[in-house]
Amino acid sequence: MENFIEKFAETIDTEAEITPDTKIADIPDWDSLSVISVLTMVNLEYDKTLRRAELQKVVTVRDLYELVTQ
Amino acid sequence: MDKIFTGVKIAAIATALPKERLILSTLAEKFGAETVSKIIKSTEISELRIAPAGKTSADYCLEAARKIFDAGIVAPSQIDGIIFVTETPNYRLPHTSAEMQAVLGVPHRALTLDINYGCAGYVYGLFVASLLLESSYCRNVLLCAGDMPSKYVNAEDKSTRLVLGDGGSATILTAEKNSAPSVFTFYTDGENLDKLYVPVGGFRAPSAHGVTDILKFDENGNGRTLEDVHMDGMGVMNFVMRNVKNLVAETLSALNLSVDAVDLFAMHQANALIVKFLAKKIGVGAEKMPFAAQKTGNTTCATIPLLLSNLYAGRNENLRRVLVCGFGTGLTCAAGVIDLSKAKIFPPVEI
Repeated sequence: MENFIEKFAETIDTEAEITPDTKIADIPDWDSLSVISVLTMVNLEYDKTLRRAELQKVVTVRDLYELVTQ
Repeated sequence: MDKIFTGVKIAAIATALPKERLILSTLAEKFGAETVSKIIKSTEISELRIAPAGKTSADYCLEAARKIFDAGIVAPSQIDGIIFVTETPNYRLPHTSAEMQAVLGVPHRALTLDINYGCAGYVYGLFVASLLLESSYCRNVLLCAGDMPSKYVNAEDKSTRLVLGDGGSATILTAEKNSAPSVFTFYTDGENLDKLYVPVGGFRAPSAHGVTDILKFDENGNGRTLEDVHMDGMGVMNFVMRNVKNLVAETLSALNLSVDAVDLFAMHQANALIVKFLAKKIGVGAEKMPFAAQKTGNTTCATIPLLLSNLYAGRNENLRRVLVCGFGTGLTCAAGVIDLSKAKIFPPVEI
């Protein structure tokens, strides 16, 4: 999870503190470009292509981590 | 389904760009300085060329073609086929390549054909040109690929306005026996057509003043009417992530080529984010899969010839096995392996 959070923060280029409970939509730098950047990171690092419907259910960073690693 | 061509030589590639520039940092006031600089950092596109009113995609392609004719590589009188790949033709009808025949003084017996295609269009053009040469009807095909997507971008839509630019190209393909083998593969996912399209203005849904030209803003603050291009970035990215690597692998295996045996991966220059993603996914470095559209942006079907023209003019003698790959509207993807070592590649001209 730590490793994932590090990659996640690096991908969206944020200095905000990110924890497993951080609500993704509340991250100040979060926007539609961040979504694309995270999608590509997840695809490269975890070999997974996330669907829109799956992503729409994600609220926290932990939710995303679980989706990516399930 | 593999068709290996061995009778086609790519003889020349030239490109032309509008001299009019749009410096994207000047849009900071409109879209917010932080937003614009963040987008530029990710796409690496800092400037676009925008065709002025009165100029069309065909004009840039014709200028590129003249560059090749002026250099004496082939004469208009030797051209027996013209293909024009574009999504911005001169007329609703007829096909623009008919007009190109007259403007360039190409013989009347020439076959003329437009291909309505976007980002994968250059590869389609190469394939169809190769078929025409293989059929023996043609000896020298002029393949024009050009577009001006800025014309269907809404000024309020930063997702497209900061990436789509205009430009044109001309490529000459000549029949020559025992040429290096080339092969092409294609993938179409028409179900996802609405991930990148202009909803209104065709015959399915004609424009209606006061109905289809009303500006609406989406949840990301991007404004557009139904007559403008709609791009679903996530939808397009998912298509790219699922399909491009596989198609590239299939194309290489059709010629028993390894990734290492490829001299250059000339990918559609959508933006740096996508090209860098594909480089990592396919496992090659930036020197083998470059991004070079920083000052021209995504010119749809013209990005591959512009990449070649920008980086390899006069230094392509070692480009024997070049993987070309386009992906976008449709949604579609097309890939091919071609030999560019015998081509005369010209740097871009501005008009």
